[in-house]
Amino acid sequence: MTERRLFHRLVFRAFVLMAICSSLPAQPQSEMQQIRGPVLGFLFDHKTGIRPVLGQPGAATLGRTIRFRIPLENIWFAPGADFAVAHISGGRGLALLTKLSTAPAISLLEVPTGPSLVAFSPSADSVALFYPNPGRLLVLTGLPDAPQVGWDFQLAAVEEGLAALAVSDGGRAVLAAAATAPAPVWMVTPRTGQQLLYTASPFVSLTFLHSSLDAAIVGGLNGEVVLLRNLGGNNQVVSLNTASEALRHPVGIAAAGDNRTLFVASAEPPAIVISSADGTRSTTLRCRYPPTRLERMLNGSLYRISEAGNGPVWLFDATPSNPRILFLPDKLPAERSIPFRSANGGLR
Amino acid sequence: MKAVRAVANVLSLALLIVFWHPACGLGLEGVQPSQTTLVNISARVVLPWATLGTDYSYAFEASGGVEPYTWTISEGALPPGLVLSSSGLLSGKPQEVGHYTFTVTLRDSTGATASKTFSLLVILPPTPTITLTGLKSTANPAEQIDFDVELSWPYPREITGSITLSFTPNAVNESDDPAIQFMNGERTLRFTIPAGRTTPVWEIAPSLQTGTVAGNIKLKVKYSSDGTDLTPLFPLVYTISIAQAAPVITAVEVVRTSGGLEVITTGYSTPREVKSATFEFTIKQATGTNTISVKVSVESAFSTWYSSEDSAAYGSSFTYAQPFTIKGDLSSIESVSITLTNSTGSSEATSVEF
Repeated sequence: MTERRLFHRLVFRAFVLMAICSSLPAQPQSEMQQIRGPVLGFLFDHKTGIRPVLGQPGAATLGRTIRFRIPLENIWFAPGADFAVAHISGGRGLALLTKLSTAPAISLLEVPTGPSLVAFSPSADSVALFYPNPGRLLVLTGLPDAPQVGWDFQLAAVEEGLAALAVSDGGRAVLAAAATAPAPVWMVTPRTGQQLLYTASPFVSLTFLHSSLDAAIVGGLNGEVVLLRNLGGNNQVVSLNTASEALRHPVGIAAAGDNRTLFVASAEPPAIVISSADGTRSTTLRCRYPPTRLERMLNGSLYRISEAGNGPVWLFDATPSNPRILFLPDKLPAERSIPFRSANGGLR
Repeated sequence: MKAVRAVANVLSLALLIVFWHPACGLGLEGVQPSQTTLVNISARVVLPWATLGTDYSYAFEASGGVEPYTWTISEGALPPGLVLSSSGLLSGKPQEVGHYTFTVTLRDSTGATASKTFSLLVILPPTPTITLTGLKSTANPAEQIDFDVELSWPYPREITGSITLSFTPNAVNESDDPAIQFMNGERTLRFTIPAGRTTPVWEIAPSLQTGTVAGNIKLKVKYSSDGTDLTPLFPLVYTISIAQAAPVITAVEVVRTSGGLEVITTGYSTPREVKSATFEFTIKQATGTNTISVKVSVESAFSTWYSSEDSAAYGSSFTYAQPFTIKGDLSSIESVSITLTNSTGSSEATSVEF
């Protein structure tokens, strides 16, 4: 009697469980589970080519070189994404490299070759290209799947070239700083044209915030960080006291994904400054070696702050709970070519 | 008869005095008197040992004769680095090990001289021990530890050495972790400690990565000088333990798919196993928000991954993609929270808002 009652109870429970499960709006597809090794981002140097960074921040290694059949130079990796824009060697054009972490492919971009500056938007859906002769600005949108020329513009008063360039998500606006001292910073949109926004020091870095027309500039005449709000509307300039000492030689600025935190890389003094976008909090991480850049990697909270190909590469891990400066051992495993598929009928 | 005996006693005493008097020229040390006023070098022929690179000082002493005295080396050579002053002080820092023999000549103000041959042994100092500073016995995974090499005392010669790192995994699916390495990208780090210093001069201060696999990292130091191995017979071995711990989620991303969505979770699990994943969907409804929990067994999938050759390059790191078929309105899902569980415990829940 007891066993029969127990059996009935178990059958009833199983039936109820099945009924609950079948009514769930989210059903896992167990047979479709995939597990692979994490890729944190990519490095490029002329000696070895493109190398994936494998593993975890603080426990990373370099993977085998990703080889394409055509030689590449001057690769710009998209922030937080696994594609890049590259110069094909010999001035043969500009290429789009996609799916670098899974199935690398290369296709030709229908744009003029030879931009001197390339800047991705924070979410990497757009890229701005600057051609120094004769000061042409070109904005591509729809990256990486459907790249198209969004708009182009002929910049005035840029005979000395540009020191810094930034484009907003969606490719709606561009910030450009002239390579002069002091450096005028212009906002450029197809609708409003070229407008002077700000005057900065020769060492200037620019960034738009994510999905926003707000921007941040480091390199005010006193080395300060300023936030430019409501660009294209009622422009507001907010100065942030981000560091305990003047950043004499900033080399990069970026915003965290939530736009609440700004990161500034400084070569002099060698440091990463982490500050809240409202200017209320600031932390300085000292670097053993002067940063030369601040380039967000595929892993959205990891930034490369030094060049590749000459000893360990220095990284900035911006994880909010434990921001830290990390090294990446610059040692290659045995070389092996990784097979790839071509996309869009492009070059292989 | 008594008188004869008394004379004999006096003569014996006189002879005894003559033989025992240090100035009589019949001492055991072979000093040659030159005049009636005898001058003598009163020192042992074997001098106290000198240590290479260490300050040495020995003052010769004289007796007899007429001061002031003048001291010179008349034969042989002093060890390089040592000098004999005219006042008889042998001093300096010896620069070469070896056994040295030299003759010291003493001259007093009357021109009387005495010479004596000495031997001096210059030896290496005791072998210093090397310690690694800044290390700890337990460390977190994905940690980078700065450390340094320190000599117990300065050594007069250059010391070269190497630190070798080895790893013994203690994981459910055991595997080496290539991320466990020094900053130079290798498991051997060479160093040179210049003569007279206690620490190497680094181009880049040394650091190591602890990787993401549970186990013991061992560091052994070997060092030598001038081709002579100075490593102690039982050298110190430094062990850093990485414990088996609950999974750690480092990133979560949600991608919309044609049939629903895919939750992509990146992290690591030091025992190299993950048993289950729990997804909690927060769904917006007319009556408020509702939370639905879905537990997925991933033990087999992770076991396959951790047994594969591909996984060996990543330690215990993984990127796990879990697709879901969504019935109804996808936009009603506000967020998803994921927790991974292994034999040791569960990760902290990590949420992504849509």
